[in-house]
Amino acid sequence: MAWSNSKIFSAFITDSLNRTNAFDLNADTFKVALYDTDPTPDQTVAAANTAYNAGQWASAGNEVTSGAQWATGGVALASVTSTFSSNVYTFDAADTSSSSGATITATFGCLVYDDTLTTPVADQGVCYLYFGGSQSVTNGTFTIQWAAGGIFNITL
Amino acid sequence: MIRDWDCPSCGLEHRSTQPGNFVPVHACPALRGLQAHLELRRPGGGRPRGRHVLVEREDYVGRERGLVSVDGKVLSAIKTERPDGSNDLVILAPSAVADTDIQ
Repeated sequence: MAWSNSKIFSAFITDSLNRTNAFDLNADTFKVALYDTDPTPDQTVAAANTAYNAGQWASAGNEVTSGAQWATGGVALASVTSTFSSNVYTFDAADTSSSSGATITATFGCLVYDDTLTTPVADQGVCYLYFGGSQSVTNGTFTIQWAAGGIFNITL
Repeated sequence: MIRDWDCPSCGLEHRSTQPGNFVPVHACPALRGLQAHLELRRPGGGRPRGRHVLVEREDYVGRERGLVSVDGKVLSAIKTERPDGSNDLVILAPSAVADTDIQ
C-alpha cells in the first residue's frame, strides 16, 4: 500500500507564487477524485504529474468511481472558502457527497485539483488526502467530511 | 418529496422535503457529535434496523492533522450498515497542512 499521508503539492505553492499557473482559489472549480491503493502520492513531483489523469493520478486502473453517483473525474467542491484568520490560511468547502445508490470499492484517498485550469498544466493538483485505510460503500451514500481545519491550511 | 428519516443511534426523527437522491447526515449525540447518516423510515414505521459503526484508522497517524479520536481511538469513518448489506459512509478526512513556524 503506497498511501501514507496527506500533503499539499509543492508545485501548487511554487506555481501560485510565481504565477506560473493561474490558480484562483475563490473562483475556480475544484474537484475531488477518489483513488485506490495503486498511487504512490508524492508531494514534490513536477506540476504536470500532480494533475488529474497524469502520473500517479491516472484514471485508468487507479481511479475509483461509481457511475453517475461519483463520476470519472470526481465531484466538484461546493461552497468553497479561501480565508486567512489568526495566522492561518484555510482552503475549505462544504462536505462532499455522492448521490444515493453509489457503490465505491476500496478507495484509499483523494486528489483535489483545479478543474478550471487548462494551461500550462490542465487540472493541476492542489493536494491529496489519505483516508487512513480502505473505505467502501455498497449501494449507499459516500460523504467526505472535511476536517475542522479545512481541506488544507497553511500556518504563518 | 417528503421523506421521513430516523437515526439508528440516538432516535432522532427527521423529515426532509428536498428533491433528489440523498441521505441526510446529522451530528449524533449518541456518537459524541460525529456526523452520521440517517436511515429512511420503512413503510409502516418501526425501529431503525441499521446501525452505526465507528471505523478505526488502519494506518499510522504519523504527522497527519485534523484526525478525529473517540476514547483514544483514531477514526477514519462513520459507517451506517443496513441489514440488506448496503451501507453509507462518512469519511473523516484529515487536513493537508503546511507549517512555516514549526517549534
